[in-house]
Amino acid sequence: MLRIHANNLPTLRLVGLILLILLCLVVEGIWVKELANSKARSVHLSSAREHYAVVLAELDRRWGQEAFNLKTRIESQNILDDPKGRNEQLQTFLISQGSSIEFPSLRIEKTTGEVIAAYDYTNHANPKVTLLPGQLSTWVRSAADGNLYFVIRQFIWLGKENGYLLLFKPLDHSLLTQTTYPGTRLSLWWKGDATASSDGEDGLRSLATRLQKPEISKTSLVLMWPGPVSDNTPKLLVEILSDELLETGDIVKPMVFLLLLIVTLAIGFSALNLEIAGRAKETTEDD
Amino acid sequence: MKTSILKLLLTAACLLSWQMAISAEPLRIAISVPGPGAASYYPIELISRIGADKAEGAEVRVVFSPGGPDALNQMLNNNTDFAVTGLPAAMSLRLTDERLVAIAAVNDLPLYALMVRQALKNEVKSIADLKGRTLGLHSNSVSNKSTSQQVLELLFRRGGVPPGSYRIVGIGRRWESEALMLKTGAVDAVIGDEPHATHMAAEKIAFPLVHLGNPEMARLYAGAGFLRGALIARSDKLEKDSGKTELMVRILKRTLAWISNHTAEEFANAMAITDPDDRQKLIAILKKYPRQYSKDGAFSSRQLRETEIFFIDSQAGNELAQNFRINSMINDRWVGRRD
Repeated sequence: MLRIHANNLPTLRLVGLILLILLCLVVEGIWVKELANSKARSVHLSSAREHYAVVLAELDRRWGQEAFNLKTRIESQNILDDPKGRNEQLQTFLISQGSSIEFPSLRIEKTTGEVIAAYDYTNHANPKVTLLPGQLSTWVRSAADGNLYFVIRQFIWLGKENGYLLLFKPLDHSLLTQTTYPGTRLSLWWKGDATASSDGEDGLRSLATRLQKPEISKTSLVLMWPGPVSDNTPKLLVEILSDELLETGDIVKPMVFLLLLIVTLAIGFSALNLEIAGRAKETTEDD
Repeated sequence: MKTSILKLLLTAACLLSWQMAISAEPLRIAISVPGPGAASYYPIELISRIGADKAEGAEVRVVFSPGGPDALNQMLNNNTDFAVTGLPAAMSLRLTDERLVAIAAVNDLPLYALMVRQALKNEVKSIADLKGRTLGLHSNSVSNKSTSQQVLELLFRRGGVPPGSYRIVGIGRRWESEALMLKTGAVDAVIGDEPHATHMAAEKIAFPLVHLGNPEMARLYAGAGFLRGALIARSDKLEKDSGKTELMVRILKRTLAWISNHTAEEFANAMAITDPDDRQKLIAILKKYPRQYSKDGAFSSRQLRETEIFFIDSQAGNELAQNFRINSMINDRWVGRRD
């Protein structure tokens, strides 16, 4: 059985004090780590929200401008005026523009919906599009390639009557890869499905095992595509990937150092006290 | 209480079956290639047609691009996992992006042809006659040159026509684009390959001025036997997980073995070309150039040296290209190397 001798009391007090300090240091360390990481995450998320909101708005603006510019270029060259040669002239004009056109696929339709000319820079994109009268744009997913397309429709002059110019912009893995920055991962969601990821096909596969819908969490945020919000509006899920600001190892080192310092000081003070007490005892005995 | 436990079990079962369904799906692999309809890249179009992907538990999807640099960009921007392009095009991009690595040989024989539009038959007798004219290419970049652009620059320099003394237009490599631009006179010549060159000649849209498939002609140009088509991957993805690449190489080797064990007619049947005329042209090309495709994907040291010579020669004046060594981007771990 452990017997506590009166002489051991100061030592026990010292050990108890050191353990208490150690406990406080551990609690403090965990609290500081959590607080710092939480603040860092919050700042990172907030910056990402601000950045990607501007990026989406800028993409939307740029595509709108490019759509307008392309329409005016086609009209100013009178490319569509001659019904017999319009398709050939349009093809020649667009082929020579190379990859500089923002929209890799386009269609020209009569107002009745009859397609009178079409062009594809690479793969043929021909998803079924339904637009209400006066509606300028919509979103549609192509069954052929799985991509979500932003479709812009505008009037175009066909020489003697109006027609529609329909422009197709794919929102694919490539667009998200070029948009993302290190430490974040993007995925595009439409009607409950992830359609593109900044990590490509592997990213979509990983999303399928992790998420069933885009969710806001401590490390992710969701942005709606600019424009009128409806069930048809795509969502951009932004996930923060960067490591935590403080790892456990980062706080253990200063804590150990602080603890060693405190223990050394405590032992030092304790030894000093014992020496003073010893001298005082000797003085009392001498007297 | 019982209802809650049942609900919990049901949810767990649903989640488990969902996870199992996902893991049971074939691994999806996307490959970007210039095309469609380019003979050099038929092996890639053939993969899913002969079921070489399914046999390995994968599903290969082909994404077509107007040229090699565009196909490589598709891969670098995560639209695809791999690209198959001319090795010189990949070397050009590798000068500025070290992530590109070649992991297998696909197409051994360059079949490039300089096709001049038919109306110029009496005016254009040599390359020098094309000075100041407009040429159609598969390129779309000043910095990253497609293989066809490198071929064109080499042919023209040897023909006494330096770069800058002719106009170029990026026209992609679809038959419709090339034929239309020649027919309308928007371009005077195109640097294309088979089977388009044969089609153009047969339909009297253009005539061949130079054809590298002709051994006599190819001998005039150093390095003309360069590696025409190679499977290109990304080193950063390889470092993280080489499983997908290993699988892709197995699929490719299976396809190349199928090609070497089947006749030209069987090849055409597998490609499901419905037009009898197009089918005959394809069979004729396959018979005319029997060593067009690699048999096993292995690299040839001799061919790699030729490719390096071609690249350096075609990129005269480019200091980075002059110092580039092809072995820095070859990973022969899965296919090996001979001679």
